[in-house]
Parts: sequence; structure tokens; C-alpha cells
Amino acid sequence: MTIEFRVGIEEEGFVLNNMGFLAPYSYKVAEDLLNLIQRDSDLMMKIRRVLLGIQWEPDPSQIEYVTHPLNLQDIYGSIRFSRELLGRCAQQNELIMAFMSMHPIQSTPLPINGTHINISYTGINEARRLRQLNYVANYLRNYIPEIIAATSNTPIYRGTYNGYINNRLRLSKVLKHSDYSRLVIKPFRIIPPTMRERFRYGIIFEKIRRYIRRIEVNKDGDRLLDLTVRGPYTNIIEDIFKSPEATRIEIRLIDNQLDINYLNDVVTMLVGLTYEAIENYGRGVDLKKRDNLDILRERAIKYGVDAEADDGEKIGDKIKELIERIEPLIETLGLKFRSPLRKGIPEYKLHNIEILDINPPITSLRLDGYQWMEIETTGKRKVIKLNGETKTVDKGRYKGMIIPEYRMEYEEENGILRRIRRIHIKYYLYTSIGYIELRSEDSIIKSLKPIERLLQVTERSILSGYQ
Amino acid sequence: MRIPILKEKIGIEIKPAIYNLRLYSEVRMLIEDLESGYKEGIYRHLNNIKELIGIISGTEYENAIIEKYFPVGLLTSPDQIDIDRLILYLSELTSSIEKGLMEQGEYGGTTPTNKKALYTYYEISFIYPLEELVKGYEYVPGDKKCLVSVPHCHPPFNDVNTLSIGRDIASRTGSHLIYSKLSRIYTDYNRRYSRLTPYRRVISKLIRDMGIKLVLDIHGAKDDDIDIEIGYAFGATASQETVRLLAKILNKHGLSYKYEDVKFTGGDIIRYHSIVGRNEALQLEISSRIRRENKETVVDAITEFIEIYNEKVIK
Repeated sequence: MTIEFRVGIEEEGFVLNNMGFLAPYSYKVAEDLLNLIQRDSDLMMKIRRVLLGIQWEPDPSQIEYVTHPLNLQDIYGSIRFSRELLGRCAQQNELIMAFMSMHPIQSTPLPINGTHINISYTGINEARRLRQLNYVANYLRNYIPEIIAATSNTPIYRGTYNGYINNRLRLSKVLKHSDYSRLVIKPFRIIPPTMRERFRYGIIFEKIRRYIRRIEVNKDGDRLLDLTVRGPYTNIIEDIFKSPEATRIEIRLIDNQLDINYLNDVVTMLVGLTYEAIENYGRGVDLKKRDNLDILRERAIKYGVDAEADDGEKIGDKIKELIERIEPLIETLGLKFRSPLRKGIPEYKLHNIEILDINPPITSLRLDGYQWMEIETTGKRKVIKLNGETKTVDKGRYKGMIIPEYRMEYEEENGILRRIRRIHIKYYLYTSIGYIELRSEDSIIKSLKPIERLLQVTERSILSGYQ
Repeated sequence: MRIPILKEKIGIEIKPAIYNLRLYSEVRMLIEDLESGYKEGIYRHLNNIKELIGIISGTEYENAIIEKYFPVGLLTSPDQIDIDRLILYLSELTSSIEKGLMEQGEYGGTTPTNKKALYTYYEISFIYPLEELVKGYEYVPGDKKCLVSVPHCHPPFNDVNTLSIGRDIASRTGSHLIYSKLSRIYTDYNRRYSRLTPYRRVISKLIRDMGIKLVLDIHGAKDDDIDIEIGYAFGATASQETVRLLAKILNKHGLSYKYEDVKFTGGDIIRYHSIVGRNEALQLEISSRIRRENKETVVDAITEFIEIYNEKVIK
């Protein structure tokens, strides 16, 4: 029996203004897309073949596209088509679509994007389907550290490299980390979700007679897990009444990749791993749980491909080995790698965003909450007043609140952000005379948190006022 | 100072909120003693405040509650200020703690359990060049203690006709007017991150130096069912009496309104620039139909409201 794969992709993106910052206008992009479809029936037909839908996300600067389950040969073209479509609509409003997981600077609020990859396959012996699906899911779970390392793409948080390669997984409150899945036998009722309220008490008092075997990934439910099986065998309501053909594995660990080639390769790698798992299952290879999986997962989040595996080897080398191993399988499916991921180089290493910070000591203090500073300038400095007038002040010590000014250099093509090149950070000191522009040679004399400054001013004023 | 004994019962989550409440009451008492000149009380409250700040400092509650509406003026003031000025800042602080506590659990990650709240205050930065931001607003002085703010009037993505409504109200009532000359696609002045932009600093300056008592923030809503939605953060930015007065006048002019169960409870401008006991702020969301077809009525109604407010409240 030949195995046939289908891959569905859910990818979220940001809507940015032409300075590269979040613009809460995803509704405008969606609106323009609707207008476009209404005018162009050919486009409409193509969209119907590729896309399942465009979805809202909690933040108004986020938008998501969801593809149909696609043939492997259509993946690259479909991602390209979907991205270009949204890019085209954004461009009409002087906006840019950025398929990245976190904004490297803006973190209030903190919208987080991700790529969800759904892999389904057909052509399995029905009787062994469930056992096999469980095997495949746990096989993929063993490679979670490699998957994280290969796809991590959020090394910058709040304008600085904070030591984590995957800030998305570090900060996400949504994704649950689950354990290995197992087969369980559970009571089962066929009651449609719409009738649940009506039958509520009937279920409670009725003796349960039917049981079903299903895969349990997490006792609390299968929703929002980092890697999970989905389909009629799970307890997810949307899936439970689907045909057994709809069984699939969903991987939510993936950071967005700005480059389509990288996203294509991530999908290729996951399909390859799934194929390998199916082959191994067929050959009767025993599946062992990987030791220290949680520790390795955390290491991969922090160090990416440079994280150390249990045997002392780097995870980057493990990825290379893995890709070499699965490449023959992938070729039989007619797929190929298109990016340097084949050599174990993830996108964050290739793009390597440069941060040009005019005064790094100020940045580190500011991020710790020290916003009030006394600064000694080494020469004359420009002051911008509230009414726009500018003047210069002599060198000396000035006290006030530190405000960063961010600027981004990026590459854009057809309304889609291709790459961020540099982030410039410069500082102003907001004082009672206006905003003083700071330079790299200016030094910090003292820094306080707002609450400490409050105490200082109150204490000094009272002591001087009531001597 | 006595540490709350209910630690085990109420759990660690609530404990720091109690310290914030205690800090709030200590600052209030300090203000009272400063006003009356009761020396012993002043020193006692100062010491208590010192101790409480030592406990709160560095915890997430400092960021979530105190820093949320922390008065920026305190950070730019000299080390020693006169007592009247200090009272002003301290009342601004108590007002911000009040709002911080009140908004716990409301929208936007203000609950201390939500880690996002940690970064609410830090993220004040310019994501648009400062040189352009100072040209990004226009201020028209007035002679009354009322300020009309129109932050979303510049295209693209602007609230159509809000500027002409704001201008008409300001010119007819003699109020101060401030409006944006920059699209919100680049910087939205009604957000936390733009608190240090010149637009927002001018509002603060006017409230402090010109004694502005009422800030009216004019916006446009898409919703056509209700003519005007009055946002006052459920009492955090203005009193019920003021809102009822406005509602009464809108009713008289045949305009429908909503102020209790509203979609727009108020943005950062009214929340930040309202100090309990000193000035009030209201956000008016005017529906697109009214802005297109019946803006004269809105101008008449709000003008009447400001005039009565000037007569009754300010004088």
C-alpha cells in the first residue's frame, strides 16, 4: 500500500507600517482581500483550491492564513501564493506583511505568531492505524530538541539579544508542553456538540456502555499542545466526528520563517521524519523514550543549534545527520531541500540582525527598570523642546527620564518583509528643559527606578521643607 | 509595621496588592499631614512609605500597579521641590495607584499574574523619530480650563470630521485644542507607548501649568447604533455627576448615548491624564453617521456641556 502525505499549514503574520513597526490594521488587509476576490473570479478559484481561510488573531496587527491539506508538490507554491496575496493587499495600504514570530522591538502588547504544520497520511492498514499514529507522534516527539533548534527564529526581544534563541517558546503562555502519548480506552458518547446542553443530565445519570480506544497526549485535553495527534481518535470536538481519514499530527513548535525556502525545508524535514517513523514502525523497530527530553528542549530554546546534546555533540550536527539520513526518503516523495538548513544553518544564523546601540550600559539598566538617570555629557548637546524649538546645552550633568528611539533597516519586496538588517537604538534624556540627545561617550552617574526616585524626591523635599 | 497575617489564607498572589493599598493610604495620609503641617505625622508616614517601597520594589506588583500610571513629572522634577508641588505629584501618584488597582483584571494584562504586565511601563519608546514627533501635533491655546484633544484626525486611517468637530467646540467655548498631525499608522497617541511624545507631554504640561479641569478626547466610532459613547473607565477618569450632566445634555439635543455598558471604556489619554480630585477626562466616540450628517448637533451639545461645566464645576 503506498503512503500518501498531505500537509496543511497555518501561518500567522504581522501587519507593519513602513517604518517596520506593528500597525493594527489587519482588518484592512482582510477587507482589501475580499474586494480583490470579488473583482477577480480566476483569483477566487485559485484561492479556493489553496486556502481554507483567513483568520483573525487576538492582536489587531496579526492575521493568519490556513491552507487546505496540500499535496507535497504544492506546498512551496501555495505558501508563496498565500504570502504574496496578503502582501499585495497590505501594499495597497502602504503596509507590509511580516511573517515573523515576534516583533524584535515592540513587546507591549506582546503578540506572538507561530507556524502550525499539520501532517496527515493515508494508506495504512485500518486495524493498526491507531497504534501506528501513536508511534509516529512519539517518534517526532523524540526529535523535539532538533525541531526547535532548526526552526528557532526569535533571538531578539525588546531590541536586544537576551541570550535566548527562541523567545517565542520562552514567553508563550499558550503552548502546553506535553509528554509522550499513549493508547487509552475511554467511555464514549456520540452526542453532537450542539446537543450537549440538552443531554447534559442524561449523560451523567446514564450507565456508560460504549468505550473507545484513543490516543491520550495530555490528561487535561489535547488543545494547544506543542505536538499532538488530531483526528477522530482525540477528544477535540472539531475533530471527533471527522472521518478516520482526517487523522493527522499537528506541530505547533515552529517559529515563523521569513524565507519561504526555510519554511519549505522545515515542512520537508518534518515529512521526512514522519516517513521514517512509518518505515520504522513497519519494520518493527522499538521506540524508546529519549532521555532528558525536557532538559534538551530547554537547551534548544536557549542555545538553538549550539545547544549540547546528551552525547556531547551539538544539536546542529544532529540536525545535519538527521537530514542526511532522511534525504533518500524525501527524494522518493519528490521533495528537496532549498535552504542552508540542509547544512544545519537555521534562519536566525543566516540573517544575523545587527544591533547598533549607541549606549549599551543605558540599555541594560533600562531593561532592568532603571528609567531615571543622571547623565554626564562630554560636550554640547542638542535639546528638543516640546514646541519643536531646538537649542544646545553645555556639557554637564543632567537628570531625567531615559527614552529610547528605535529605527529599523529592513528589506522588503512586494509588500513582504524579507529580512531585518539592522536595529538602531539611540537615547534621549527627557528633562524639564526638553529632550536632550545623548551620545555614546556620555556616561551614567546614577540610575534609579521610578519608585526609588519618588522616595528620594519626597524625602529630600520634606526634609528641606520642615527643617 | 505589621505584616498582613492572612498570608496563608489569602495566598501569596494577593499579598503585594495589600502593600499597594497600604502605600496608597500612607501617601494619602502624608498629603493630609503636609497640607496641615503636622510634623510628627509627616515623618511617621514617610518612614512607613520607605518601608513599604522596600517591600514592593522589584516585585511584579510594582510594575503592574504603581508603575502603570506613574506620573512622569516626578521623574523630570528637581531633587527638591516645594511642598505644594510635592502634594501635587503625590496626589497624582495616589490617583495612579487607584487606577492601577481598579484596572486589575480588566483588559490588557494588568493582572499581576499576567507576566505581560511587567513590561507595561518599560516599553515607552519612540518608534517614530522625535524630530518628526514634535511636528506631529498642533496646539491652539484657549482661555478656559478645558482641553479638547483630537488624536486620530490625520489620514490615513483617520476618524473623519473629528478635527472639524474639535475645532468648532474649541473656538466656540474658548477651550484649548490639541490635535495630531501624524497618522496613527505610525504612532497612536492614545496608547501607553506614546506617553512621552510631545503631544502627551503638552497635555500633562497644560493640566499642571494652566490648571485644565476637563479633558475631552474626541474620537470616531464605526458603530452607528448609538450616536455617542462616553468612555470614563467606569468612574476612574471622571465622576458620575459629570457623565450624567453630559448625558442629560445629549438627550436634550436628541442624541443617543451610552456610558455604562460601553465598547470604548477609554484609551490611555483619559486614563493617564486624569487625576482624581484635580481634573476629569472623558472620551467621546462619535458614530460615523453623526459625524457625516449631523455634526452641528454634536458641536452644539458639547459646547453647551462645556459651558455648564465651566459655570457649575470650575467656578
